[in-house]
Amino acid sequence: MNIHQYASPKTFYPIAGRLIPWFAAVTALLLAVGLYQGLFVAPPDYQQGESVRIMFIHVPAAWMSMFIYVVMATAGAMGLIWNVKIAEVLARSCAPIGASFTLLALVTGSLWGKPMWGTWWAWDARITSELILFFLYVGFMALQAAIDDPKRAARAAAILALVGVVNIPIIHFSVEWWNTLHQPASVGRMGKPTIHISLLIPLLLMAIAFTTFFVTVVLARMRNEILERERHTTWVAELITKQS
Amino acid sequence: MGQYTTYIWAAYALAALVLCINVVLPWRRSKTVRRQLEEYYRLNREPR
Repeated sequence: MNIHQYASPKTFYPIAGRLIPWFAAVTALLLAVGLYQGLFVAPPDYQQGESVRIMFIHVPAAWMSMFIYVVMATAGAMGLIWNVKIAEVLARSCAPIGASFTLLALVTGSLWGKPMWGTWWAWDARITSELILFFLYVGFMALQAAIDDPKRAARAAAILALVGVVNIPIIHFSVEWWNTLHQPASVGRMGKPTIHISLLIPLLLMAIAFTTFFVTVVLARMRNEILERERHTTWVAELITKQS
Repeated sequence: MGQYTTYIWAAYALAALVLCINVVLPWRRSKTVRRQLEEYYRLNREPR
């Protein structure tokens, strides 16, 4: 089968359906091991004590917020340039998941900031740029919802997503470019991570679990989106009438 | 978890809520879409 055929909604729909249970199973396994490691095995940090356990949620959520945005903007660009229908579906499906991970990163950051920094919120460069990311997701979804024609909606939202991509390096490098309350990168830095292996393992397990979770739910959302968009086609009509 | 118990469990509870919402919403949407499409095909017997 030609690779381009996978971009056809008709081919993609059943493949996504077959992949979902596998990704869901891997997610459940990774979450179980990651949570056990993070809550019961990882030692308290020598400076932050037990509060470091919030990191196993906060950091993967923040990574996902940026990763999903890049996926969304790339898919938006593919839809815009090559008119790939499945890319438009992917971009639209990414937005609510990305927004929820961004909100999770912001709120868990606040829950971590209060005991460590003594404040729920600060207009720190990292936090502010992450908040802007949340607004970009909300803007993307609002723009899609405001335009009735899915093709025009996808194009307008893709342009917004591409403009917003400039915020991703700002979030990542904000801790180096400005004086912020956040510590500098300790995992994604060049060379050896400065974080201890006992904390790094649950952190990476949770990050992979969040990634496979994202794949699971984005595939589920894409299947719904495909059915709605392709309702005028014979294959969707046959699929629905056969199942009803 | 000492003095940080509330903060830690609040963060994990929120994460659980976010993950659950992300599972439930597409699942419910799937049911709604299928119901709407069944209705649509009942009304428009001849798809393209």
